[in-house]
Amino acid sequence: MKKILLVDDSRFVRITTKRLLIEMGYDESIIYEASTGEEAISLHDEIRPDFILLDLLMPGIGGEEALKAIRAKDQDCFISILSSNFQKPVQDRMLKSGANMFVEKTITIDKLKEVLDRYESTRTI
Amino acid sequence: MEILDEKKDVLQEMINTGIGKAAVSFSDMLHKEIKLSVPTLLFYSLNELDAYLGKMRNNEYVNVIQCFSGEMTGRGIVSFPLIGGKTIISTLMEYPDSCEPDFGGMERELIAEVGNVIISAVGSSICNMAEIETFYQMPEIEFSSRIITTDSESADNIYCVGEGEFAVEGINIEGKILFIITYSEIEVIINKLLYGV
Repeated sequence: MKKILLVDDSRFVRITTKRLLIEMGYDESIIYEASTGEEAISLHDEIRPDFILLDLLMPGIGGEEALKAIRAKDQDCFISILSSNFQKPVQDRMLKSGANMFVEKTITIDKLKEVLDRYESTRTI
Repeated sequence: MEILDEKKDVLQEMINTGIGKAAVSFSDMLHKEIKLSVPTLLFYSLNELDAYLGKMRNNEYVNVIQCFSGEMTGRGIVSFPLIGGKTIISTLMEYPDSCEPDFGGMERELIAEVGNVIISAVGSSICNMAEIETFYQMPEIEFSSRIITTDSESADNIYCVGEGEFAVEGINIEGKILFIITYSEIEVIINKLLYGV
């Protein structure tokens, strides 16, 4: 994996996820952070991450619009939604809008492994 | 207003499932077991709701409030004793025991995230059971002032309040989850589930 982008308005969620990634062996230097949808779009343009973990409810445009904007420009990036708003219509809409996966908050090491395994499986063919 | 027992049963089940799901999310966050009381279901007029919430206006509590609208309108409230909120922050941030965090920017953000995870989990579980969708606003934090403003609400509304008490094992924190829904809207959904109309 080359670059990972964590998008969440909560610093706690970003810090926790980053710590889990480092525990799993990922290098800190490949992990980037954004706290709004706007920042995610702009950082995506700048660094072109391979993998994005994206929250939905954030100040500003939020994760749904960020997902659509990023997906319109980048078909290859693996995007997983990480949200406590796990209503079925929301999950369906996100997957239809181009998310590869939907993970319910709270993030745990098992959930993170599952997402990263899914990511890896899309890269091996 | 009389509410049929079978409708209360459906609502009770929704609230139980929602609060149960929220406890799982909260437990994952803290890496500790969450003990839950059996949630209670209350029905209030606007004045009664105001009086009920008035009892929670207390300098010793921190409340996270999150409103939602759509096919179901209402708000969720997560309430911790102030000292419990600080302990939650210490636990999540792994502060040393001797360090007493205040409620600065980072701590407010953290408590808001805890509230958001709990309230959204309750709401999302209920919505999935009812096959509906609601839209959440950003969570807000109140320490001692009025918990919610009911000034713009209709005096005719009946409110359904799901109330659950929780305790976090090992760190001596107790708190409350309130899920307040406008009854007329949820009744339409219950009728659909019960009678298909």
